[in-house]
Amino acid sequence: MKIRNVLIILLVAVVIGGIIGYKQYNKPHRDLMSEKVSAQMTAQELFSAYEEDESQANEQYLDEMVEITGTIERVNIEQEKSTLQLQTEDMMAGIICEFEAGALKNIPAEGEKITVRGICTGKLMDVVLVRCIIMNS
Amino acid sequence: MKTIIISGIFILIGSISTVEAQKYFTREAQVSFFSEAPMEKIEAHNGTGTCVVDFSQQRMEFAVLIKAFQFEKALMQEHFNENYMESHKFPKATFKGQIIEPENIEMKPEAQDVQVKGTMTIHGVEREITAPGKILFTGDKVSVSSTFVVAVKDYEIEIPAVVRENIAKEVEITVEANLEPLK
Repeated sequence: MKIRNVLIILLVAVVIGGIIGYKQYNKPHRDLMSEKVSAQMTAQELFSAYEEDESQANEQYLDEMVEITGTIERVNIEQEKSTLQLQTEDMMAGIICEFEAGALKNIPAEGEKITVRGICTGKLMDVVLVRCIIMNS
Repeated sequence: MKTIIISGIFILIGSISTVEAQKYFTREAQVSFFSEAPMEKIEAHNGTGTCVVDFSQQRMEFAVLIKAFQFEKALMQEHFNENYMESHKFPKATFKGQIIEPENIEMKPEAQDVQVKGTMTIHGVEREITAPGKILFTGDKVSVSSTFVVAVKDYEIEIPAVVRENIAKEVEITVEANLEPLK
């Protein structure tokens, strides 16, 4: 009788553990629509923060979801991932916003002003945001 | 006389433009990696790499942000960033190198095999590597590609014993970039 109870408890624990493990393994990517925005600013403001002090900016924005407003300098549509580049005062560099396949439903035009949410991944030449979503339009 | 002058001007313009188009650049280099262990296949893509190639010196540079690698499974992406690559500490991976073969690359419109040698920096660790690649000039653009293998332990990336079966010791990296002349 006692052994049977212990076995049942063990079995339940294993099943629950298995479900938690499986859910954890398959947990979804971050949902930027429901997540709280950690910073709202212009493309120039984010770019300047990185120009002034990259490691400080990384501490503040790396892996954070930011909402950026700016003017589109360049549109690069690909079958898989597409990117938009937002203008800054720097002639050579800006903010690159990468969209997952299918995330860019209406393709905006160069020169258009947009607000984009994305996860900040740091700066190479440009500051790069991934998994972006367009918030206006 | 006129024709000589005109053709002279054309030759001059031609030579100026070829001199100009020595540096090529992209901010949308595609970098992927792939590993297959007995338990699990791991694959990730990054579409925001920068690449500069200077053909006058046969030099080439790549850079990617580690956090910009996208995995199918969010958990794998988390482990990759937090446990293995420590991307908060080492946000970038870079390669700086030289095309060593052929010694003088011709800008011709057919695929050429090249060998590139240089310094790869991943996880804050620098290593000398040599990798094979392909270069193709089409119109005013150039595309470069390469596939090579890196050993995880070369870059001091530690894999805990419990998951050692799930993660391959070697990872195949593929790079593809379409570059435009740098103005």
